[in-house]
Amino acid sequence: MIKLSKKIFKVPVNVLLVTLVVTSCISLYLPIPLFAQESVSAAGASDVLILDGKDTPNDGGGSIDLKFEIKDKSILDKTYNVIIMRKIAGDGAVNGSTEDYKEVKQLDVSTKRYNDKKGIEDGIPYSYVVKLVDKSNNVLFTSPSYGPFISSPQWYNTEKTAVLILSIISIFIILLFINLAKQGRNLYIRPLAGIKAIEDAVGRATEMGKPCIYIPGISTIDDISTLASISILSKISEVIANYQSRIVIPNYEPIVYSVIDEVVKNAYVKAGRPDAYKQEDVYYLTGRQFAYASGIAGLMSREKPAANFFLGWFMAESLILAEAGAMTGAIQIAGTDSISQIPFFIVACDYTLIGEELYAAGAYMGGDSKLLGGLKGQDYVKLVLMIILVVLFFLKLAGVEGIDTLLVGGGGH
Amino acid sequence: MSTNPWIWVGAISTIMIFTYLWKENPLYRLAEHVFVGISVGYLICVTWYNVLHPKLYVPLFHEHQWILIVPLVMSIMMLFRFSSKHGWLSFWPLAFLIGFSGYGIPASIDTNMLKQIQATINVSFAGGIIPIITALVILLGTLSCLIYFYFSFPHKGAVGKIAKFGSMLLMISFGASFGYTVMARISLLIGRVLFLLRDWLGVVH
Repeated sequence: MIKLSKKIFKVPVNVLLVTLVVTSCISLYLPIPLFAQESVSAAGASDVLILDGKDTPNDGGGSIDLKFEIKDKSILDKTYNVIIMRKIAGDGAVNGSTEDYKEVKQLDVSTKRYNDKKGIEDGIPYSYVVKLVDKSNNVLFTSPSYGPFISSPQWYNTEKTAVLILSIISIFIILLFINLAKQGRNLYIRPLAGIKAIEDAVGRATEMGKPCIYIPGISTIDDISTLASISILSKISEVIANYQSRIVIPNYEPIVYSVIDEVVKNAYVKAGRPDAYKQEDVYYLTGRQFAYASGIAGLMSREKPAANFFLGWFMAESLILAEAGAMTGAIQIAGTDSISQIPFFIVACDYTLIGEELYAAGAYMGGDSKLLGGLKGQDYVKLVLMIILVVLFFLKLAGVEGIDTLLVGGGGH
Repeated sequence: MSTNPWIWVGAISTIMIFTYLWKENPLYRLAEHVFVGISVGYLICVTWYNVLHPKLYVPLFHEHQWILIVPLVMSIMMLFRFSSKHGWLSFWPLAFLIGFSGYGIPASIDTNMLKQIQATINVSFAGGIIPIITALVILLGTLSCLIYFYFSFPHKGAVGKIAKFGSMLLMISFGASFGYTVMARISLLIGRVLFLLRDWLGVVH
C-alpha cells in the first residue's frame, strides 16, 4: 500500500490535476441535463393513427419534426402512401375538415418520421392532417387535425456541449502555456530529425551553389498545415538569405501566394538583405492539381535543385512531385497532415514529418515563444484527450449508460 | 486509327508528357507549358462563371444585396499588392482571411477529437472475451500513436517503447494505404494506355 502511494505521488502533479479536471467534467456532464432545451410539443391520437410533433431541436428554426405510427393493422396492410397535409392553425375551416390543408409531402408507408421544412415560419402555429392512401391513390383514412406545433430557433445547441467544454479546456491550457513561455519558462520539446535535416539541406544547397525548391502544398490559407508550412518557410527563407542562397517557390493558391510573397520578403529584410530577394522566384503557377505537378516536375528537371521541401497539404500530386524530385538527386524533406499522402513521401523523400510533426516543426523552427507555448499546450490537450478516452472506455466496459453518444450527442439528453 | 482530331490532340499530348520518363526535353516542356497555361485560363473562366458572376455580380447589381460591397471592396484591396506605395492595403483582407481560420476551431475539435474518441469507445463488448480484447487493442493502439505525437517527453525508456509501438502501427497503416493507392494509380495508367491503343490506334477492342 505504501509502495502504491509512493508510486502515485511520483506521477507529476500536473498530470493528476488534468485527470481531476477531466473526470470532474465527465461526472458533471454525464447525469445532469445541462441547458435542457424547451420545445413545443403536442400529440394527437386516433384509433388508426398517432401523430406527435415538436419543434426540431438544436436548429436555426423553420422546421417541425413529425413522428407518426399507423396503429390499425388492417388499414396499414392496404396503405401504400402517407400524405402529410398542413395549414396555419386557426385559419379557414373548423377542425375535421381538410379543405384548407395543403399537401406538404407524400411518403412511403414504411416512413415513420418527417422533418417538415417546407415554408415553415417561426412562431406560427401549424396544424397537420395525415391521409393514408392505397396504390390507386384512394383515400383509406383521413386523420383528425393534430397540433398546433410551433417552430422556433435555438440559441444553444445541446448536442455541442462537449465541444464547448473541450474548447474552453483547450483554449485555457494553450493560453496558460503561451503565458508560461512568454515569462521565459524553459519548455522542453523533443528534437525532431526532420527539423535538423531542413537546416542541413539549406547548408548543402549553399555549398553546391544550387537552389532549393519549396512547395507549400495545395490547400488554402485557413488550413493549419498551410499556416505551419508558412511558419517553417519564414525560418528557411531567413537561413537562405543569410547564406546568400536561392529559394524558388511555385504556388498553387493565389491567397497563399500573396502571404508567402510577403513572408519571404520580410525574412530577407529581417536577415538584413532585402536587395537579395528575387520576386520572380516566388510566383503563382496554376490552381489545377496536375498542371501544377507537371510544372514543378519540369522546374525540378531544369533547375536541378540541391534540396526540395514539400511542406503543407498534398493530394494525388504528392508522388509525382516526390518522384520527380528524387530523379534529380536532391535531398528531399516532406511534411504533411494529409494521411493518404504520407506513405508516398516516406518512400520517396529522405525525411518526412508525419502529421502533427509538421505543426511542431513550425513552432520549433520559428523560435517564437507563443508558438512554442501553443505546441506545449497542445501536448497537454492531447493528455486530456487520452485521459477522457481511457476513462470513458472503462466506464463503458463497466456498463454505464449514455457513453455511446456522450461526446457527439450531448450526453444523451 | 481514330479520325477524331481531339483524340489525336489527347494522344499526342499524352505521349509528349510520357517523354519525361526518358528525360526533360522540348516536347515535355511544350506540353507542360501548354497544360499550365490552359489550366490557368480555364480557372479564370471557372472563377467568373461559378463565383464572381453568380455570387457577386448578379446578387449585387441585379438583386441589390448591398452587403456584398464588403467582399467586393476587400477583393479590390487585394489588388493593391501590385502597388509599392499602397501595397499595405492588401494586408487587411489577408489578415481577415488568416484570422478567419479560427472559425474552424470548434469544427476541428468536434470532428478531429471528439468524434474520433467516440468512435474508439463505441466498440461492441458483446460476445465474450474476444471483443473485449479487440477493443483493448484498439485503445492501446490509439494511445500509443498519440504518445508518438507527444512532444513534451523524450522518446526514451517506457515512453520510447510505447512511441515505437505507435510508429510501427502507423507504418502498417501507411503500408496498407500505399498498396491501395498504387493499385488505383496502376488502373489510371491502364486507362491511359487503353486510350492510346483503343481510342487512338484502334489496335485493341
